[in-house]
Amino acid sequence: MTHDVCFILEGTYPFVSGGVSSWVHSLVKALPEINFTALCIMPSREQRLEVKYVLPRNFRDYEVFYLHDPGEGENGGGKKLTADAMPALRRLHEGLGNGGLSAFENVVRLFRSGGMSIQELMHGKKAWDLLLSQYGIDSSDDSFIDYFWTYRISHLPLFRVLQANLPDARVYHSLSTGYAGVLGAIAHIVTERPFLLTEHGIYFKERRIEIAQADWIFSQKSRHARPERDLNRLHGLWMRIFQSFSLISYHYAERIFTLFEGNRETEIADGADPDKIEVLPNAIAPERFYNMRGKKGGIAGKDPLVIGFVGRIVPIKDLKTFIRAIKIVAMRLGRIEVRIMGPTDEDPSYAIACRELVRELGLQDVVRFLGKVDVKDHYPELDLLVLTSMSEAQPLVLLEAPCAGIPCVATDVGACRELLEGRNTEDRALGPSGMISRPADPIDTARCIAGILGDPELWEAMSEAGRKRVVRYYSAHDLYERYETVYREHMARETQEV
Amino acid sequence: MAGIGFELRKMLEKDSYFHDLVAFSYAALLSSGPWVLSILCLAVLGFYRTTGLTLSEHEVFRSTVIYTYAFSLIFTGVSQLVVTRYLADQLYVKEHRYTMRTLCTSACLTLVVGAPVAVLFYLPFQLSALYKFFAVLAFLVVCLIWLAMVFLSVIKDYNSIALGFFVGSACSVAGAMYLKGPMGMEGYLLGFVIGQAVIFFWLFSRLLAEFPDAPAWDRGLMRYFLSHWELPVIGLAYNLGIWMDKIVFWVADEGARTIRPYLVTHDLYEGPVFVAYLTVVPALAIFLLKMETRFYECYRRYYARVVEKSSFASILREKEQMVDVLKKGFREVLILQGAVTALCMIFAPGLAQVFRFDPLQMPILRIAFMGAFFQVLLIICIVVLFYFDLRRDVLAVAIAFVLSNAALTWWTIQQGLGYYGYGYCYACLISLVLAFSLLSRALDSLEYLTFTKQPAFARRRP
Repeated sequence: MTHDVCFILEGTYPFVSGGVSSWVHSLVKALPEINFTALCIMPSREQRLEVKYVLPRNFRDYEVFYLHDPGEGENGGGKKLTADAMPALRRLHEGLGNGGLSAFENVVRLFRSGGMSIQELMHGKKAWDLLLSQYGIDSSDDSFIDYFWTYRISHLPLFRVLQANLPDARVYHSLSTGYAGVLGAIAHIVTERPFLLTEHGIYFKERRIEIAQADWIFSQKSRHARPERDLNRLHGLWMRIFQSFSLISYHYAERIFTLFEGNRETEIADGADPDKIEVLPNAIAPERFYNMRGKKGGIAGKDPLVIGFVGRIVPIKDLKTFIRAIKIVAMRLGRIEVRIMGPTDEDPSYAIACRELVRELGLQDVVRFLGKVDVKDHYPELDLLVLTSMSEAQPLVLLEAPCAGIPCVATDVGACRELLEGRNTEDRALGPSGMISRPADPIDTARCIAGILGDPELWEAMSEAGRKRVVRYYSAHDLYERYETVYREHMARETQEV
Repeated sequence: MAGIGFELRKMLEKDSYFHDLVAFSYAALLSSGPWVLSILCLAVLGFYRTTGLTLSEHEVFRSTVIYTYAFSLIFTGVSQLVVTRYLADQLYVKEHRYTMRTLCTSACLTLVVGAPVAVLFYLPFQLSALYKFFAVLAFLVVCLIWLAMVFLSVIKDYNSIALGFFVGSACSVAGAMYLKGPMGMEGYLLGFVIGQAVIFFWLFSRLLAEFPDAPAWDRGLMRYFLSHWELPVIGLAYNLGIWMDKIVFWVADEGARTIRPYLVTHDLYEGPVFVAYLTVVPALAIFLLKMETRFYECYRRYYARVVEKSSFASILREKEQMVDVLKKGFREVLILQGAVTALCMIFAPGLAQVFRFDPLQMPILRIAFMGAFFQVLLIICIVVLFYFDLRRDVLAVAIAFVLSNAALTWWTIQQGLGYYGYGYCYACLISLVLAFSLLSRALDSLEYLTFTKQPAFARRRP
């Protein structure tokens, strides 16, 4: 049967829990009228898959595609390379600019019509010659065996993706670029149905960081090696591959959705057409948090003032900066109480270091580590929420706390600024619902905290702005409605006869 | 083979003329031992045939020994390459513990399969039951010797091997001489069997001393028969190919003589061909000694370059050096063996006299020299193809060899006496040309084969 929407998911729903997975889950649940299916890309059969969600009834017939396993029953795999196969591949390797995308379409059609044989592409002489010309026989001193295997390991999954079976659907919706995005593009090329792309994290950016840190990319360790160049070679190969995945995804996507402005800018820098991008932030159900704090009145004369920190106790959240800032605030404001809410089991040594810092600064009576708790129980009592992360995307706590009427202080990373100050003119007109501090800067953080807590009128204004902003711009209901509209619009699209 | 070459090179490095000679003769013995030995053994026994036995009885014995060598080589051919490869792979991963296990398993297989085959084979022959029993015994013992040789290549104790063969062969001759008096023809054969058994147990005890391990069944070896199925087929086809012309002559030519029912011989053809085999000893020796040692080093360097993260250019340079050494070695063999063969052809009349050949056999002897020349080059090509694990190529060559030898020999028999020997010679030439062209094609694209033959899914991204 033809499904309304086919998600193309890479390593997430319904097998791995996490941000994207719960996003998909709630969206499917919120739109019961729409029939969903999914093509789930997973690494290999070696990992046992376990469905982590109670699948909604409108999510059916999902298929799993194993990226690194030898394929069976693959669609369209050829026995031979047709004459135009190698020129098309060669063209594709020269890059996607300047007609390279039509080469990509060519390659897709060849793969799906049996004109490409994975056997030949892995073991054949013509493919070998292409690999050699990519490597550059005369000019390169790089380890050939590593180049060879990197080439194979990076290309084989792609070749298999090019032959993957596609569920029948009216709309294809990938939740990332990468292999999922490429498959979405292929689906569009093959079926002519619209392809939508939603990026939570920026796939290429994440891979870029991963690759830079990876030691599974072999690097030469001879005495004469020039590290920066030797690194660049194989890393560069991976980088180019993931970059072209992004380019292909952006090019063939009908619409691109992302969580916040910063992501939008990264996508544009990576080659996405600005006109296609729409920022659709994550949202919450406002009724669950609305005005929990506000009901209890302002902070004038309140003693002690309660400051909250919500997040896993790990270095990237930079809890130490928060604790140092608290020391300064405690000296300036007098009696305060600090509640740190979040699990410590992910990096126990960091948690210990944080407790030690608390002791060293003599804050034992001020700071309490509460561990993993339901933050909803604490929102009514919090007067301020602080986030000192080194990196964030669009933290949900910066939706929940303002909705409850709690002003926030957050570092200038990810979507924090737009969440607290407003995304567009209209939004900004509501006024700030908190203050933005510099990352890893206790003094600046303390200045912001004291600035808000020392001024009851400002606090009141921020509390109100936060509630209004979340209700108006970050309501889950609106988000689901928006996606439903987009889906319906694209589902209704007639397939053009070619 | 490679391992032996390496040891020999060390001997050569002692740098004296004597050691040179010693190494050279060891090489000759090891590379062509089975052939040379079987032929020498026959010759020695032939010289003493006059006393005690009737001519017919001696011919029965002679044919029995030929059959024993022929069919034992063909039969063990099925397992020999598989066992060799299996051992080499085990040694590569430094696994010595199971060597004895492998020997026991392969010996068991040889006996279990070989005994009924030999019994059924000899059953219809019009010979005494006791004689048939000894014939079966001879077959099995010689099979075990060929098998033990595979394992001995691991030990490299050449003195012991050479001495074992010498003592055993002497026992064979002496035993045959001594026992033919009281027991007649049966005794003659029993003596031979005892001598061969001495060789086997000599080698076997040497192996036992080296690899003390409880006998057990080796399943890994069994799996190799399936996973490397080309090897048994190659072994069978190639060894059958070597004997094909003789078998065709026995079966299809009117000149073949049935001594007793089913015991057939073809003196006219066999004699010259056996003698011609002896002339390839120099080529095999020089190949083993010079070429394989030097070539093996280059070979190792080439693969070392591949694994040690070198650039493609330096891998190519190493390959070119290896090919160069191979070419030089080939040239040396060609020159030396060419000279030996040419001399043999020139002095064929004299040689024919020494071996008491009929003048009719002279042209056969000449063409057999030529055929043996091609055959030894063919062997060398096959060994090198095996080095690069090009089993399919060798399979094609072995099959071409056995088929062309059968077909051409049959055809020459139809053409008459003047053509005898040409079938064998041309079969060797055709197979050589095929092997050589496959080899040079493989060498041209060696770097391609080295990399792309690897299965794509073998290594995962960690």
